[in-house]
Amino acid sequence: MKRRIPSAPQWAALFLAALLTSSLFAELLVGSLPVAISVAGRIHVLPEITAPSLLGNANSPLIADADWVVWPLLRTVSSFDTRLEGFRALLQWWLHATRYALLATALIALVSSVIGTALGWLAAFGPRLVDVALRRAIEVTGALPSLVLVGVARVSGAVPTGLDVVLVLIVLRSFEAAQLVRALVIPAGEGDFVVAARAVGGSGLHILRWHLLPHLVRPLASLASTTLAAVIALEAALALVGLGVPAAQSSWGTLLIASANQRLLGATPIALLSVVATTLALTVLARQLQRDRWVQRHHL
Amino acid sequence: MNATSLREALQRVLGLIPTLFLVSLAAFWVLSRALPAVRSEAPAQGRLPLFFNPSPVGVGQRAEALADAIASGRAGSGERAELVRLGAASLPSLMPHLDSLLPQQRAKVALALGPVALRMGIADAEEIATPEMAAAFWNRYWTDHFIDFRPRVVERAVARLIERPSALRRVELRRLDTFALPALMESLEITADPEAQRELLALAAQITGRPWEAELSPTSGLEHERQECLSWWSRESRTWSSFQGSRRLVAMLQETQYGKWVLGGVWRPLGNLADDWQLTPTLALIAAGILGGYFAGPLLAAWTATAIAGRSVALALSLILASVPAAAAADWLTLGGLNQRFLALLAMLVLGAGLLCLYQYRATRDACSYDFVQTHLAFGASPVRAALGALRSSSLVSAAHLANHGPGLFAAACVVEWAFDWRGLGWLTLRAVQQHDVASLTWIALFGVLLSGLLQIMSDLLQSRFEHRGRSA
Repeated sequence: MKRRIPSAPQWAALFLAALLTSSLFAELLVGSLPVAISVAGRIHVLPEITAPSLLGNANSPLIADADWVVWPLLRTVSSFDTRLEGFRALLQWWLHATRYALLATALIALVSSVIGTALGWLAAFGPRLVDVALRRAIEVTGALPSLVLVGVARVSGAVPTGLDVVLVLIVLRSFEAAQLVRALVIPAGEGDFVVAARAVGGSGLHILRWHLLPHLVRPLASLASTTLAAVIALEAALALVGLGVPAAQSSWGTLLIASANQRLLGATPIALLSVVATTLALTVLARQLQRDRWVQRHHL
Repeated sequence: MNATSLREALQRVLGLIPTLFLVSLAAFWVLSRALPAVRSEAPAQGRLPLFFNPSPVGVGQRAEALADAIASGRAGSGERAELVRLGAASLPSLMPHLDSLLPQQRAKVALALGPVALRMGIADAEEIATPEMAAAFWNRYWTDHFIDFRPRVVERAVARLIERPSALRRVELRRLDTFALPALMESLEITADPEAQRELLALAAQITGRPWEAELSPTSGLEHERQECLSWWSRESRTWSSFQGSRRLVAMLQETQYGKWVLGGVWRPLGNLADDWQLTPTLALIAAGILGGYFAGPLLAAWTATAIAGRSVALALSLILASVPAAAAADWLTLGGLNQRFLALLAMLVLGAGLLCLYQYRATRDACSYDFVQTHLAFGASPVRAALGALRSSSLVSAAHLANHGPGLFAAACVVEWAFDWRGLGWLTLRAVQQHDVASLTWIALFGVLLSGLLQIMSDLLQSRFEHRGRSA
């Protein structure tokens, strides 16, 4: 029997799934604190997250007096070793950084796509004022480097560290997506199929959902596929300037700069490879949408 | 490029002016809110309203409030020092106000004004040694000299000093103390005569106690000190101004944080950081980025056109270049033993290639499908030669993207400058963020919007030029 070799998009999906799963369960894989502990008949699952003040650190007397303890697969000495010494410390850092990168990317891509689509739709078919305002906003936000905006947000302390990158990128990417959507739906909205749908009584929402949205999926996915690289580039730049995230909130960008500063030649390829491989995987998946049946069915 | 295109471009350049004004308002508001803790401006400016000051306080009102505090015994050394700083500019309001105070209170205020009399050179220490003596002195002085405290008198005295400096004319102005400052500064602003500038600076330094006369010997030092002095005056002039009549209306806008920022920017747009940077590194780095991006594209397209899995290889290569964080690339390159400037430019070449080459590559690929390029290939031209031959056509798309990539290239230049400590505009920007420098950041935001707008207009002009040539071909 001939064994079927997975295609590039399948490999990409598998890779991303593996990354996401391992990073989501980082506390089970590697850490200094128990995964579960029973103290005086009371069970605490993931006490590091659910009850941070209970144990404090790995030397807590409660651990010695516990009824039973379930440890992670790999135990580390301290909660976060910023010197990145040894495989376990590096793995722990990498898993947390991966979780932050993937979740931040997903959040930015999703929220900016939704906001961008709504704004682009409004600019194309709504009042002229919205269109003018959107174009001015794009001009202004497009002229300001995201690094400066995130830097200001970070030194102001108004937004929790880490979330500032997400918020700034959501705003900037929303405008980019809106510009893209506006440019795509204006010609598409004049197509025969839209005119026909309108003639038979299709509402604006119906036309957007069934006739225009399929045209937007690929460009928006393509835009989203570069989000991860943008997040990491920003984090690395902030770390270089001295405004990086604290050790407890690790990111690939910070890891790259920390490894350069500490001459940790082993950590750099890991972080760099993670960024490049994940961006490639996301791009491959985005390009796969070109051949996706759902898109093809509606791509007239 | 025809006249219509140029007219449209000019209209768009003029259209940038209201956009820049609105951006300055928005940026100043956002930055002032976001970075409230540290401000580069003088402490007094922090107390000003942001955009509109319904009741600007002049020197007279301020002096009267200080006199009341001193008279009632509530004032400390800070209030007394402030009254001395206000100097003779406060006398036209303060002297009539003293009549409303009790004799003992009047004497206390007169004694507090003693250092002003010494600075003006109108009294010896013995003459104002006790409160009673000081009160009698000021009463006598004001009766004899109130007529001198008129703007016209000061203007004439300054004009005479500029025309023919002499010790007597210096003394004449010194006796008017801070009342003469507005006229001195106005003359300093307009006069081009170095000798007159030196005289005015020395006098201003004497009255205010500022160190402007320290480096007056070389011409460059004189110009620097003049700029410093005018910049200081633009920030501090409200201390010695009395807002009456139409000046009060102007002061409502001028005596605000935004007004001070605009006036301060005329002399020193980038505040305290202005001396530490140059524009050349930023321009060189951005040029290197554009060079890397626009030349890597055609080369990549030419190379991958001959490869078996050309498209995938090109995509993977460009994605790898694009996904490498600029900061990491720059930081690692600083460890290299080569010339640091060369490494910085190399970093920008690579980063520019990552940022731009995918667009140029795709455009080159498309251009390679044109008939004239296919004909070249059919006649045996190499892919590289064909790609370079199609450069004019493929540059159309790249030109359209020129404005979109400006901020990206500038951000890359920021991190490269920081990593290599090459002090350009990017370095200055990050420094301003670190120092919460609202004034500098607002100017940088304006510069960014202006640059982006001009790039957009330029790329449209280039696009129309290429299209025209394409049609001609």
